[in-house]
Amino acid sequence: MTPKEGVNVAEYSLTARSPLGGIDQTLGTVTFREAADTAIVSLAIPLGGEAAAFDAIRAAFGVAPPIVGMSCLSADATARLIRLGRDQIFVTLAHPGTCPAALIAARLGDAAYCTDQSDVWALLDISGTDTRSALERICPIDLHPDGFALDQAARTAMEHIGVIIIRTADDAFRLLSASSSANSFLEAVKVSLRNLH
Amino acid sequence: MAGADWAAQAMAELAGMNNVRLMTRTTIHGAYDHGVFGALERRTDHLANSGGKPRQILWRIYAKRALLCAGATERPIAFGNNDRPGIMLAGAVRAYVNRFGVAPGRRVAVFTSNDDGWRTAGDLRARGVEVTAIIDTRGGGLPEAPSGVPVIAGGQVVDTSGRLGLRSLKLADGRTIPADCLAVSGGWNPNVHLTCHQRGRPVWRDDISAFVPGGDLPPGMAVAGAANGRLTLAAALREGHEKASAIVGELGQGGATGRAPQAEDEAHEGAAFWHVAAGGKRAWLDLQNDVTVKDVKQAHREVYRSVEHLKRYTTLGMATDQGKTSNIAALAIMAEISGRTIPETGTTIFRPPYTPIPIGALAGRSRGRDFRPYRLTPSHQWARENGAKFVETGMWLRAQWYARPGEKGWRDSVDREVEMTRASVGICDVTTLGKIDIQGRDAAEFLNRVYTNAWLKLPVGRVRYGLMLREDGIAYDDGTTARLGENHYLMTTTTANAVLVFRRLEFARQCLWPNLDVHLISTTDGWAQFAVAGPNARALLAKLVDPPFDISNAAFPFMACANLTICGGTRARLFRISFSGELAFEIAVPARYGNSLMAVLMAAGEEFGAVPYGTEALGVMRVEKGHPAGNELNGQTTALNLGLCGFVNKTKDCIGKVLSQRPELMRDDAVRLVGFVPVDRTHMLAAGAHFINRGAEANMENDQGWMSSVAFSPTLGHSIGLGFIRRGHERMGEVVRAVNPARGNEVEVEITSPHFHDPEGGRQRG
Repeated sequence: MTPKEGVNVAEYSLTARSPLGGIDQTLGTVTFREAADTAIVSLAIPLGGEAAAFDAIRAAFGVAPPIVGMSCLSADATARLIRLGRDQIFVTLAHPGTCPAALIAARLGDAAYCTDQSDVWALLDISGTDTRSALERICPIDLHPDGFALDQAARTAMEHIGVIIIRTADDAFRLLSASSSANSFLEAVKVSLRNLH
Repeated sequence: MAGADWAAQAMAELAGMNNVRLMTRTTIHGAYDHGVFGALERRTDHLANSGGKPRQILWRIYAKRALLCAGATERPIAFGNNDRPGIMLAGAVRAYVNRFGVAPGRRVAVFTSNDDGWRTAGDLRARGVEVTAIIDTRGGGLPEAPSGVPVIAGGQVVDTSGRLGLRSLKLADGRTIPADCLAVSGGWNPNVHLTCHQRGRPVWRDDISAFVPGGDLPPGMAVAGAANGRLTLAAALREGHEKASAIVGELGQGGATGRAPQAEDEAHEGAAFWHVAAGGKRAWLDLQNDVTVKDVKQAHREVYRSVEHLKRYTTLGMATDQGKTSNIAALAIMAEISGRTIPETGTTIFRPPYTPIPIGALAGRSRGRDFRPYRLTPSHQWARENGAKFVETGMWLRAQWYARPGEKGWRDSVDREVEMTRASVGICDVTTLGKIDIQGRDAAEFLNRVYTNAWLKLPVGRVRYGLMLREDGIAYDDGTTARLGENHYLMTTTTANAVLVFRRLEFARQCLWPNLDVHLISTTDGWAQFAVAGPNARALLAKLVDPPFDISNAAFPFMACANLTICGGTRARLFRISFSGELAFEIAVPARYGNSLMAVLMAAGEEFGAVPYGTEALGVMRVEKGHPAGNELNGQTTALNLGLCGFVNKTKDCIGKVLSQRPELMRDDAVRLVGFVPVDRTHMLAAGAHFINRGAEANMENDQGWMSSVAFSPTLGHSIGLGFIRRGHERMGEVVRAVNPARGNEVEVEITSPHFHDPEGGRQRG
């Protein structure tokens, strides 16, 4: 079989669809919004290469990597670095394409192992007065403002679903859950909100 | 200031603080490990209309420190016919009068062993209710009675009368007291229950004739007030303030904690008095379980003298009350009969829950469709719109088959899907298989240690089958791993074991070999992956693959893999692997394109008559091809049993290798995976049947093995099976019986190769 030659326009094209269908909805005081155009890249720090990796991250993002359980914005505020483990950092950034790992890898060289995680997760931004009251019903970690500071991040589980939770503002959180079960997760959060008051 | 006003003021102050949460209508029901408390909030049961909100909420509370102020429960006195309506605890009478403004009777008598009963009399009189007598078991030292209320010192109630409700009491001295309500107080028991939930044992205090919390409290817990034996107001307030101040200090939240509110201690003298011995009438200890003083005596006569035995013999303290009102009196009577003290007799300790918890509250929202989350494959919507019947596999919903008009049952659909795939091309969503991204300088060495076969020489751009063993040598999981780059591999696992394998590999890298540079992350949900199988698979994919990528057999042979783009620039991964035994590829795109790719594959495949196929056709084709799956990797079988010894490398170690070579697992007469066909080809085989030699009795001793998977093969036109039978590889052509005692039938089967379809593999390599 020989490859097709001289074909510039593909006969077939694929259309993308985000796991939460781009939800942007306000129920009571709480807004649910899918951050569908956000890419996620996981960085794994090579064994023994921590110093080089941290230098490369500093050079690429203009900030030092946060400590485990914290996140921070890059110097230009276009990316967020989330430290999930001693040797694991997630980078989220607004990027509509599907090859963000290559983009980050180009910035970091071989200082970290990059894996695209964009389609693994659904990103749900949830904000508003009742956000904490809704989440506390299903989230086992303490979300009190004194207990879960701004930019803090944690791996946890809600309604049997693994979730990464990041506090992004006073009453705002970003929730990452598996894309295959994203709608079950969204429903779990909505039920928690409906059950209030 | 009145007590109620002070309480209201304190509540308002607390409610205004943003670091205080007041939870009303809520009961803590258990003190669990690590400072976790269970609480039940009763939400809407008291409302006429719940507004669709939950009835109750079960809260889990994580506390560094807890101050238990659970109060005390009043205890009754047992006397003859004390189960008549109108006889109630004195505290209950007080609550009717003071809290609800209801008179529980027109003529109320009080029977008490302590000063607290007198308060009830005072409160009744203050509201204008007639008190016909205060009967106190004590002979003297009594408080002053409200004016006009007769006092009977040293009195005892021996019997009651009244057909539908209490009308009068009979005293030991023969007097009759008229009353339609009798308020009884035998003193107070501190509510020590939560202090016992981690095996803490209460201790006896003679001065209040009651058990109080022992020293062995759940971590972080302190107790104050009546629950701790401080039965009067000022003492309770003082202790609450002291202990709360101490906790605030311990938590490093120092600062002024103010002064305890000033109050008076009410009269609380009393004398232990458990039951009226005189009279001979039935005297109830546990009104809920119909346990009387006589029953306790009977238990003692039958030598059920330990409190644990007493409880189980008589049913005392069971059910909703859990001994809150009955335990101490029964214990006291047991002590009295056996001539021991109460602490010598002992006490039962309490376990959660403190109050009954509805099972519905434990289940919460996890019922019906919300019982657990659903995982949907990327092509779920396409499948739903195209006749798919779904099956739950773990949390996934997968298309089982795609029904077409005119098909009378699932077999019609599955047979058609298999036939069309083998004749032309079929497409199956295989996203559910676990995908683990493995990177690191030592990734190859890591694979070498977790898989039985060798991995150091797999070239970039190639895929290899791998088998994992458990530590004990039993087969664990299998799949393919692709080498995507110098230090980059992609492992696939079975759907069922995706999470378990990932967890196991994390354990291996973090705990077994922390010196290896290996990093793992799951990408299962990130890629929509489709098997495209059948003689026209290549022709179909060639329409989608962007030039200049070449998928010819020469450029992209069996077990090749590559990164590429399709459909004009969409990033994709292509693997030349086959589960069906046909010429096959698996094509993966970022999950967001999955639903669209399914539709595109079907559109591009239209000229070939492409069909979507589900898990049933997938299963049929893998049985035809003789691939082991979950039924074969069932936690009992080894590489030897599975015929996969060739995949166990002789020159290197791996997890499970040493124990897989135990003599018992290497026996010559071990069961081997082979194929089975019915001698009479019209017979259908059934999984679960056991093999018995011809002429042998069908019993456990003659068991030769079992049938693990069966399918109707549309390719061969008859039923086929895979199974394990002793020395199976040496018995080709032999006929044995597949006996199925559960279904009450047996079928004669011939032993064959497990590879029913294209055993040479020419099709998948083509």
